[in-house]
Amino acid sequence: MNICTGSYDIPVAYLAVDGVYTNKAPGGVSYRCSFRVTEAVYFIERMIEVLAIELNMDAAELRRINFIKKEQFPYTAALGWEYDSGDYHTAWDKALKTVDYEGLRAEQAERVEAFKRGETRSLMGIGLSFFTEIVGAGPVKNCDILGMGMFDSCEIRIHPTGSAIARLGTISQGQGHATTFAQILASEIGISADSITIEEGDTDTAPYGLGTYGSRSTPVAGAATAMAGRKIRAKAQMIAAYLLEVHDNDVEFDIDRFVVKGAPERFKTMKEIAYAAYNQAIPGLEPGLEAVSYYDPPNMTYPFGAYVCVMDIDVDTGVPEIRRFYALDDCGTRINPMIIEGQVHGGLTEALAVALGQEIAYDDMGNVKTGTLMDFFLPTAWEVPNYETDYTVTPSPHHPIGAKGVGESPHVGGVPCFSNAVQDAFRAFGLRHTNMPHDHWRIWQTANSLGLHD
Amino acid sequence: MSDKMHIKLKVNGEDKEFLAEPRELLIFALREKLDITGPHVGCETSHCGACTVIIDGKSVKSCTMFVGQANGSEITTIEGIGEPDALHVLQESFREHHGLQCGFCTPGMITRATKLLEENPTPTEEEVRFGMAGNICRCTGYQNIVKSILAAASELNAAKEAAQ
Repeated sequence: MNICTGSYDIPVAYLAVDGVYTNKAPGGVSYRCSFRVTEAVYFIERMIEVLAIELNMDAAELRRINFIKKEQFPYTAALGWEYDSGDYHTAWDKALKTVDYEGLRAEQAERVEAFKRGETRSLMGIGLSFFTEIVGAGPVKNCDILGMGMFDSCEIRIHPTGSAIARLGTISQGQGHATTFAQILASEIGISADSITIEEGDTDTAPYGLGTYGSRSTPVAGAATAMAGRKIRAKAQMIAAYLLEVHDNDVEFDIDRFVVKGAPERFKTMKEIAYAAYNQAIPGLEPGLEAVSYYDPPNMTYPFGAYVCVMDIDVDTGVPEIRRFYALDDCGTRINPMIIEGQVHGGLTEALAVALGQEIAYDDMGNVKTGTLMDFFLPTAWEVPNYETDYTVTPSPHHPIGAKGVGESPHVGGVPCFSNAVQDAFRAFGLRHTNMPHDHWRIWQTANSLGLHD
Repeated sequence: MSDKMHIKLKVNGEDKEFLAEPRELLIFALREKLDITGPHVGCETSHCGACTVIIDGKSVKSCTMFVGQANGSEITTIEGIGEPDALHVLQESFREHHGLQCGFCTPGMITRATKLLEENPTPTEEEVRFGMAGNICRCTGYQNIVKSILAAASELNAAKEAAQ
C-alpha cells in the first residue's frame, strides 16, 4: 500500500491500514497481483477521477499536470520508496493520441445529448488509468520472507562443445522463462539461445532462490543471469587474449566472439573459447567455464503504463460492451515482445474479471454464495475483447540490462481502467463512485438510482 | 459380487478393454486406467474444458460423462491429434502464435478447436470465440488462442485448395 500515491508528485502522504482477522477467503492467494499494488493503484486512480469531478476538470488533464516529471527521477515518494525511472508524460501523450482521446470525448458528449433526447439507450464510458508498479522484490536490506532475504540466482556451465546450461532459483509457471533467460544469456555470452538449456525447479541442482511471484523473475533472476553471464565473458576474454597472443585489454566482445581491436580478422569464437577452456593449459587460469551469481537488487523496479478503455453500456440491461482497450506498458528493456504481449493479455483478462464480475459473495449467515464456477465469474473467450498493446521503453538504471518486469502490470492498471470506464459513462448524470464488481445487475442498479429508467 | 462393467473403447485408433465401475467418470478412466494423461482435470464440474475429448465425432468434456455411457464409443484425445515431431496444424499454430502459456488448458483447447474447424472450416473471429467459450484459460486472455485457431483455419483451407 506504500505505493498508493501512484504516479503523482504528492509531497505529503499519510497512510493508515486496518488489518482484519476473518474466516472468509484471504487475500494474497490470487495471482497477477490481485492482492497488493492493484488495490493501491485502484484507490489513487479512483480518487483522481472523483477529484476531476469535484474540480470539474478533464481527468486526463488532471493526471497530466500532477505526474512526476521525467527529470525528477530517481524520485522518492512521500511514503518512502525510491522510484527508479519513468517518463510518464511521454507514455500518457502517446496513449491519448493513439486512441484519439479528444475525439472520444466529443463522441461521448454527443451520445449523452442523444440519450437525453431519447434517441439511444446506450451510454459511452471512457476509462483511464495510469499506474506505477513496484516489483522485483527485493533488496535484502528491506525485503524478506520470514527472515529469508529475497535475492535470486543463476548458475551457468558452458560445455566444451559451446552449448550451455543455466540453472536458476525461480520457476516458470508459463511466463516463458526458458525463452527469456536464454535470450538474456545469449546476448551476454554470445551463445545462441537455442544452444542454452534453462533448468529451474529441481532442488537437487538449482542454486538457492526465492522463486517466482511479484513479477520478480526478470528483475532479480534475470539480473543474476546477466551478471553470471558477464563473469563467463570476463574469463572468456582472458582465454581469447591468450589464444590470440595479445593483452586481455586488446580484445573486445563482438556478438559471439572476441576480436583483436583494430584487426577484426583475428578472433576466437565463444565455441572455440569454450573448447579451449577445458582442453588447453592456460597459465594462471583454472580449467573450465562456469559462473554463479547471487543477485541482491539495489532497489525495486518501477514499471508503469497508460491504459484506455472505451465501452458502451446498455442502460436498460446493464451490459457493458468493451469496444476498445488500449494498453501501453513500459517495462524497461523489452526482452521478448511476444511473451510480454501474452502476459499483458492475460493480466488484462484477470483485471476484467475483477472489475466486471468477480466476487466471493456471502449471505447473511456467512455461507459462501459463489462456490462454483457457475457463480464465480471466470471470463471465457466470449466475454473478452481484443486488446491493443503498445509500449515505451524507459530502462531501469540499476538493473544490469534495464529490464523491469511485466507480469502483474496489466492487472494493476487494468482493474481501475475497466472500473473507471463503467463509472465514467454515468459521470454526466451525477455518479461519483460505485463499488466493484460492476456486474450487469449492479450497473443496472446504478442507472436506476440515477433516474435513467424513469 | 463385482459391480464392475466390461468396457470397450477405441481410443486414438487402438482398441481398449478394461473393467470399471460404470459410474466412474470417463476422464479418470482415461487417465488412470489407460494412462492417457493428455486430457487434464481442471474442475470436475464441466466448466473448464481441460478434459475435452472427441467422442463419436462430438466434443465432450470427459468429466461430464460416465465411462459406462462411453462404452463402445470411439474417442480421440490430444494424443491422437499430433505427435511431438509431427504436430497437427493447430498445435503448430498455437506454438507459432504464443497460444499457450502454462499449457494446462491447451490439450482441451486444441482438441475442441480441431472439432470446431471440422464443424466450421471458415469461422469468423466471433464464431471462434463462441465456439471456444466452453474452454477456460487463465493465462493468455484468449487473444492468441483465437489468433492461433484463425491462422490454422486459413492454413487448413489453403492446403485443401492446393490439394484440389
